[in-house]
Amino acid sequence: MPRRPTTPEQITSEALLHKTARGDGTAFRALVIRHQNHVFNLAYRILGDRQRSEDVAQEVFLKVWQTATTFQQKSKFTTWLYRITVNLCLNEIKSQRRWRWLRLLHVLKTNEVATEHLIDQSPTAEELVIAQELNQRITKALQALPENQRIALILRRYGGLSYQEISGVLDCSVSAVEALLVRAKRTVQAFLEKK
Amino acid sequence: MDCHTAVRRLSAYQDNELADADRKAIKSHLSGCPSCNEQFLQLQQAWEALGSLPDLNVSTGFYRQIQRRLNDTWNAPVQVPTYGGWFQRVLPTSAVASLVAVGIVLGVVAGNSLVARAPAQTSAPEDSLLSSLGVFDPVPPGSLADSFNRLMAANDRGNR
Repeated sequence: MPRRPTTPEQITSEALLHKTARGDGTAFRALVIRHQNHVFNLAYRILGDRQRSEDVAQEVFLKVWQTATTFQQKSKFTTWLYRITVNLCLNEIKSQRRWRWLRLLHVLKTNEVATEHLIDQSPTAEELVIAQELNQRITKALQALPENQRIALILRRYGGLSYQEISGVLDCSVSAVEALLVRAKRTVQAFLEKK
Repeated sequence: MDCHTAVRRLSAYQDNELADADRKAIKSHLSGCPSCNEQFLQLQQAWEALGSLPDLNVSTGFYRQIQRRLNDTWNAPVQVPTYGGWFQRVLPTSAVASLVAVGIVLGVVAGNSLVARAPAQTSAPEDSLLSSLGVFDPVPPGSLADSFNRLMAANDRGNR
């Protein structure tokens, strides 16, 4: 019986990454297209800014290309990918904090009033949809969470990661993930009830 | 199971992350404790509300931007085929310069060999010097244009 040709859609992400590690551009492209929206949405929910999230998502895939050979088959590809995404988001938050601090100094020097909101929400067609009342509140609730709680909740809710996988991404115990998620869910609920 | 333990484990219960025994214990507690059951329902509401956020799509050209950023680094894996890039690969600057040089040499050789020059009328050194200044003429001797002129003149003579 003749073998059917295998299309990129039929290959697992792990196999595509293996090909990418050998310099296969087609496999890399298939990998990007398959996961680009997951990575972008994850970054967007952590950072709350479209442009920064897209930049980070691009950096994630650059990192995938550069470090494809280091992937350990012990973990799932998505866990590895989300770990890269979370780390780059945290780096982005740190650099943003530094930048914001410098900007605050500048504002103080020039006696201007800092009125800028913490989350940059540049209006786009898609964001106008998100701007519906409930979605705004959820977005704000997520942004109001402490970083670890937010990331744990986002990885669970939108990434579908198990507690074990989240513990791997956050480098903490499973029981710590459980505690983070209880607090995060309660805070979100309280935030939604408040208004 | 006491309320404190039950509430602490509600998230794991909701996410199906508990072992069977723990799961049964929580379920049993919730059925007999309205307060904890209320908290569980609130967690469910929060969970469902979080699920109502729509997914966004990356901008068009997302992959091309990644390609461009990769091409900017030393380890570019995928080349974007463009006319300019192809042309430059096929005809690099040095090759173009070489072709121009070969063309000039061939032009000079052909100009002098295709049509025999008229024998010099005099061989005086002054005449030789004067004739060498011909390179500044609009149609310098030995050029393709000079050959063409002489060829046409020869044809005219033959026709007469």
